[in-house]
Amino acid sequence: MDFINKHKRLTFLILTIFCIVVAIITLNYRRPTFIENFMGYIVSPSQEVTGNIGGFFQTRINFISNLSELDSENQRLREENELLQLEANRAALLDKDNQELRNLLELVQRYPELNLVGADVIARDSSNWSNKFSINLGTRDGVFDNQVILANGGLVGRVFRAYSNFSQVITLIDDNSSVSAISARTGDTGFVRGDLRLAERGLVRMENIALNADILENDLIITSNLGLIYPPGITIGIVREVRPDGSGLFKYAIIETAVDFRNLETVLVVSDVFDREFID
Amino acid sequence: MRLLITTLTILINFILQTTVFQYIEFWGVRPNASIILIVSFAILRYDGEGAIIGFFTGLLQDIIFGNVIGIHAFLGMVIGYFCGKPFKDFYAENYLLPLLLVFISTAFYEFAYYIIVFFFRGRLEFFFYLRRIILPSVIYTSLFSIPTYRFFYGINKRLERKEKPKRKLF
Repeated sequence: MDFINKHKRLTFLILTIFCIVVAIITLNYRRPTFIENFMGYIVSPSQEVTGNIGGFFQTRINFISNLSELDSENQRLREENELLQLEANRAALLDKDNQELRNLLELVQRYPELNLVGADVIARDSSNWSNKFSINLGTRDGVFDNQVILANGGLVGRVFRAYSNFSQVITLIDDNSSVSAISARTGDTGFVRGDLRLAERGLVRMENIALNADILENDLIITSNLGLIYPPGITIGIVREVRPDGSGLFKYAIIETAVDFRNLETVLVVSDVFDREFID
Repeated sequence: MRLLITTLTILINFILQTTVFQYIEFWGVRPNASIILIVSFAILRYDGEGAIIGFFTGLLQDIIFGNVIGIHAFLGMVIGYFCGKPFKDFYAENYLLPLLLVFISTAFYEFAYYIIVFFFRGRLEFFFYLRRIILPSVIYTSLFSIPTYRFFYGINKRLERKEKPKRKLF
């Protein structure tokens, strides 16, 4: 401490240079070093405990304030459950049929079966500028960079960086995220990009849609098979609005995501990596 | 002793900020407790230590959540360094100076972060970000700093009381 207080300017300069150099080194890609893994071992278990305590009180408060709605919601869910049960049986039959026909025609599986692993959200990025969170699985549990994260039957995002005992997840609504998407009804393609201006309301923007594409409100948007990271056929959300963009060459759509990003507590990690050889 | 307590404070602050503070979101922003910590320690311990504390607080945030290591560390260090400059006519018990410094620091931090990360990626709608993120964040963090500064002041006072007898030995 005495050295620092004696050479304030020097310390300031050295640390500034250090920051710039490290920023340049880590700009594109970095593998976690032992320092980061070490910090992870200290920070993430405590985050898990603290987060659980916070979540415990949050659940209790929500439970009390929602007490009156529980009965009607229960009734509604029962009815929905019966319907879904019927549909699931039908879907299973269709799936079997489909499989058999595919085998006859020797077609490749277009929508691969996904192996899922459950994970808890342990912490959220404290910065107001990004929408990231961390989950309690890391490389030692078989979670790697660019694995896909799902919740409530919709796309959440992908693992941005996997550390030894936790992983950073970048969500769909983060300003840096980008997903290649397709409209389920018409097959029009575009890129779904996060935008901080829309993130608060749980919306994303689908860009680069051809002007003559007939995307309409309430169309379902799913991931396309063009991207290298995301498997095809995962629900992204529903179109809320379509507008021509500034250039006059494309139009863009505002999409309401299928996932409620505010109240995420558990997520599913897809434990396969797609086309991994193209990523590295 | 001081090193241990300061490290623990930084760690606990970070853990609370990423877990519990998400429940106290208001106007779409969360209070930036790291800046309050940096400013408080800088005021109480002057610029050298302020810079170091700011650096490590930012570095922790960079390591766990950052895209690029160095941005938060650099901003934290700058804030710690300049808030630690000795101010004339200031008593540590005063509330106004910490409030003012937190206000300026948060504004600087959010503005610099916008320029570095958003402006250079072509997000040019500055007034939108000013209205929706920078201003609410500055106001909320400043209000939040009033009780928090008191807390850090208490920690520092206890540490100084413990250090005093030790100094007499030399």
